[in-house]
Amino acid sequence: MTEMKYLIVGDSAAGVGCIEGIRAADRGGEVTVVSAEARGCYSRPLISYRLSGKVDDAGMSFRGEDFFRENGVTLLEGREAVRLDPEGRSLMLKDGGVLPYDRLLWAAGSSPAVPPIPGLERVTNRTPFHSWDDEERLEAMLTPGARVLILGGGLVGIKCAEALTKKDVRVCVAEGLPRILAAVLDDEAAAMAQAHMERAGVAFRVGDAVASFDESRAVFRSGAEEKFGVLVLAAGVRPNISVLKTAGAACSRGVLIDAAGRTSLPGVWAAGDCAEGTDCSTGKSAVMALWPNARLQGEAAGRSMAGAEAGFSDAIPVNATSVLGFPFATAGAQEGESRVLRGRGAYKRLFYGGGRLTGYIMAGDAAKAGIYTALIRRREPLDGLDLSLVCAEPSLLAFTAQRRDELLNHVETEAV
Amino acid sequence: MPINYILPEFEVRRDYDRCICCRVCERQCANLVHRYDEDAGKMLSDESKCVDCQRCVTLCPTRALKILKNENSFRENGNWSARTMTEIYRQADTGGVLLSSMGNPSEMPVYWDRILINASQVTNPSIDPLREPMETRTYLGAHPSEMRRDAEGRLITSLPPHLELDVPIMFSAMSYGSISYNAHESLARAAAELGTFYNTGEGGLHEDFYKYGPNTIVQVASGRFGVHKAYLEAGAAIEIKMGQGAKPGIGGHLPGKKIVGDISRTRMIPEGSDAISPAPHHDIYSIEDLRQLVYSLKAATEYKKPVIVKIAAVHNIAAIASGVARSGADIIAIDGFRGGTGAAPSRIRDNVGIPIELALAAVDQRLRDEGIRDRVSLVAGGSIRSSADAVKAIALGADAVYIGTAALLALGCHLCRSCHAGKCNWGIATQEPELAKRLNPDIGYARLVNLVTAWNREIKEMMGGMGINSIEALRGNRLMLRGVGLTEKELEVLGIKHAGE
Amino acid sequence: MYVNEKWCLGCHLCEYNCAFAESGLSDMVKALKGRAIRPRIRVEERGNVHYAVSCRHCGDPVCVKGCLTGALAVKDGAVTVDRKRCVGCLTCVALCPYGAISPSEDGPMQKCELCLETAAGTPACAAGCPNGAIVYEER
Repeated sequence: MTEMKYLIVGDSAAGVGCIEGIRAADRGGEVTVVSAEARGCYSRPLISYRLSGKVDDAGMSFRGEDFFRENGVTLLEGREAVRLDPEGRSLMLKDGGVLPYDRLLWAAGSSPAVPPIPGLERVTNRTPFHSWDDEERLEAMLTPGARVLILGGGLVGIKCAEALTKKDVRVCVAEGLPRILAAVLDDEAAAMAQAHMERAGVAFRVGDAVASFDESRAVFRSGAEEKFGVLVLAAGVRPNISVLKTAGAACSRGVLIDAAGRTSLPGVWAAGDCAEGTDCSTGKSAVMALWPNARLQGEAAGRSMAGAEAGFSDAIPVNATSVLGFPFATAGAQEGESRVLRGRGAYKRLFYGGGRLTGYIMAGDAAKAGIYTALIRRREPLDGLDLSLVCAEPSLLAFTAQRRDELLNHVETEAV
Repeated sequence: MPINYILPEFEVRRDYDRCICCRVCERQCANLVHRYDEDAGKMLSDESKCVDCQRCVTLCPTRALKILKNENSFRENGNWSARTMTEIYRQADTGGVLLSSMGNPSEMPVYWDRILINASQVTNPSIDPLREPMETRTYLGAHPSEMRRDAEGRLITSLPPHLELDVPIMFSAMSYGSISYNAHESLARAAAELGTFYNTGEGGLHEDFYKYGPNTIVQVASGRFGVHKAYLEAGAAIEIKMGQGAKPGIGGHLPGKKIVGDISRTRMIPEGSDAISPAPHHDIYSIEDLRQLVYSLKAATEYKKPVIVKIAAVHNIAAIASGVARSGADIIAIDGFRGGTGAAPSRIRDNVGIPIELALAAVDQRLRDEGIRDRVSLVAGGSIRSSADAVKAIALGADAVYIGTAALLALGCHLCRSCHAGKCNWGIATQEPELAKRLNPDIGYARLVNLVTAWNREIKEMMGGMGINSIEALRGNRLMLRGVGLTEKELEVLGIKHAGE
Repeated sequence: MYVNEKWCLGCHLCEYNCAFAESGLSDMVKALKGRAIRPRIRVEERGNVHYAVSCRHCGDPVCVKGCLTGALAVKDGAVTVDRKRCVGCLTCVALCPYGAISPSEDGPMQKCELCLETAAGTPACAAGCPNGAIVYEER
């Protein structure tokens, strides 16, 4: 019997998760990873920490140097996949190489979107902030006292701004939507985060979209202007699915997958920022481009590819970070009925529906947020809990003693 | 505002250099003595509420606490002690009967401490307990007075029912209600593991403990709380409580607020009603009545279980015991005046009853004189504080001893003598679930097993030292004891010689 | 590490013993006097309910999977944090179903690591619990 040939496109969180999932079920099969970048498996969210100097080159990797070798994986770096033949089960690379496979995982992630703003092409010192290469490019553009304009007040833009406060530059964040971190926080929490960053010296222009650029100036719809020396494009990402789309896979915003990561093409799985699964907190299809999700989707896909029982059926978006010392965490849905609690410099909003907790926003204090995350993922019915206790503070007190005993005293094999 | 005459008995001394404000003392004091003061940034203590239970001292992780006697002193007086004066102030305040818990603490003679044990030398060598068999097993019950043979000449070996003890130490009666469920569980499990017995006291037997029945002595007291057919059948023996060393002449008292839930159900009385046991059994007004009850209980349990009669050590104890021995009882338990209690009027506890040492010796001698010593076994209780006390008790005539206070000390009691308040910080003499929780039976029962095992080893050491290798040979062996500093009369009652003789 | 809520008295000695063990000092007074402690085990309580929560050292830990830097890893059966790697992103905090991870005083995340590296040698919380509420054993 010939060994199974596994082929993984992409070596970030989803790719690595897939390797771990495959190897947990199949120690023998041949695993090959092909990656367009040539930096090993580095953690993309860490580029802002590298920019600020908190993390060095060695710290960028999230699985040691020996990871691929120890897991019997062949790594092909700096090679881009351009065409997929699902019937013939082969992948064509840009340099002409052809890789046959039995099972393939598409974990090619996403690419920065270029907003169609007139005059953008005239800006010479411009860069996205998505990859390690982008980070080095940005660093090279910075000069003492430079004015940096960040286009986009989402997570990427905000983390970039945070890192730049450690440099001798002036930072301004421009966001066309009415609030920063629009996909992650609500109005009040976003306002708190913005105020915190303003106190640290970051300037903001929010609710005003850029109408046009010239070489060193952005003109906003309102007529206001912002001068800059360096422009960072952090205006969103597009899932890298053109290859799969051409091959005939069912796609929406991302390539559609089931709980085990299978696409509509036989023998092809997908995971990570390019994939679109079901957000179990809303029941809707969504691309959940978040590190833990990519890792868990990748692992489920890997196990499924190796023929083991797998299913990541409790996927919800989970976001957590701390910006200039201001922590926040969110998970699940941000729609439907909610309850707000404020106190001691913190803001908390809990969303519920159908007798369950469906989402939360915690800003200013994110302690023990994981307890809320687990309530959402486990679909724990609220009528078995004390709701006022659930709202007051994330703790296991809300459960009955019996349920708590189950949670704390049974032997843990599965974390969730 | 009336004057507060009752001054704090104790002082809480905290070494502030050591205190780390962990607040464990605050959380663990049921009397709310300690609290953390935010403004001062340190712990403060209200000593007026302290009962010196030592819970905070024991748990403090940096040993920053001490409880001291309040040095505030009244003028010295050989007749009027501070305690006596304070008791009068209290009665002038409340008009009530003073209540106390645990055993008589007064400075009366402790005869155990005036009795010395023999050791063998030269003429009669001692026995090495590590290398030679040493029997601490003992049997409680009536012994036949003569050997009898049947028509074929074979020995008739049928005996009345006995209790078999692997060690000559049993846990004495402490009722469910005066002590907690967890305390009972600890006693039951320890008794089972040690091969001895514990006693339900007058609170009945909780259904969860029926499984320890073979190691349980069920008590029938004057209030007959919790007494029904299944109860009698559950135990290995039945004890009729005629009196208790701590409060001879009166019955037990458990206040209504402690009669809740399981306590109420087990005692078979309504919740909230005071459980007052009458002084006499209202169906026992003569020795013949006692005999009738003894035989009713035997009949109810098909003559399969020995019946114990527990009497308090009082003036005519010898005559009383003689009557009891003739009433059909298999075992007589004598409870001395130092015995403990959950609650008793202070004057009765401290002034009524006689020392167990004297009572035991008197009873043993009287029964021998009347030729009926073998009709019953004797169990002595009322402050057996160590294996040495136990050995002395056996040498004075006991077949086994009952320990109560010592068992509670093993469970964590610090003899603060506040049981009647129901706020035992060690989880023993309380029914408040938050406090009873503090006694984890897994820990408690292991400590009891340790205590009795240790005493058993010491008993073997002492017996070996005397050249004796079984409890039987020690029992009543007065020649193994000598008194020191005792009067002629005391020596005579104890039936022992003076050291040197 | 298992917790018997039935026997927990809410005395908080586990928290102080944890903080002391982690301090690396030999005298508790020197280690903890005048400091607000940040123990890796926390008592949750309300009214008469008390119990202590610390890292469960899950067999399949979701915090390790979600860690951006690979700072969280399983070592000798315990889930541990590489303090030099951790950037304080809080992802693990938002994933741990027990709320067992929290920031340390100087930034990187901290959690129970079974006293594998402390002077105590064996979990100090379990050893110091006065009522057998915390149990450290294989099940």
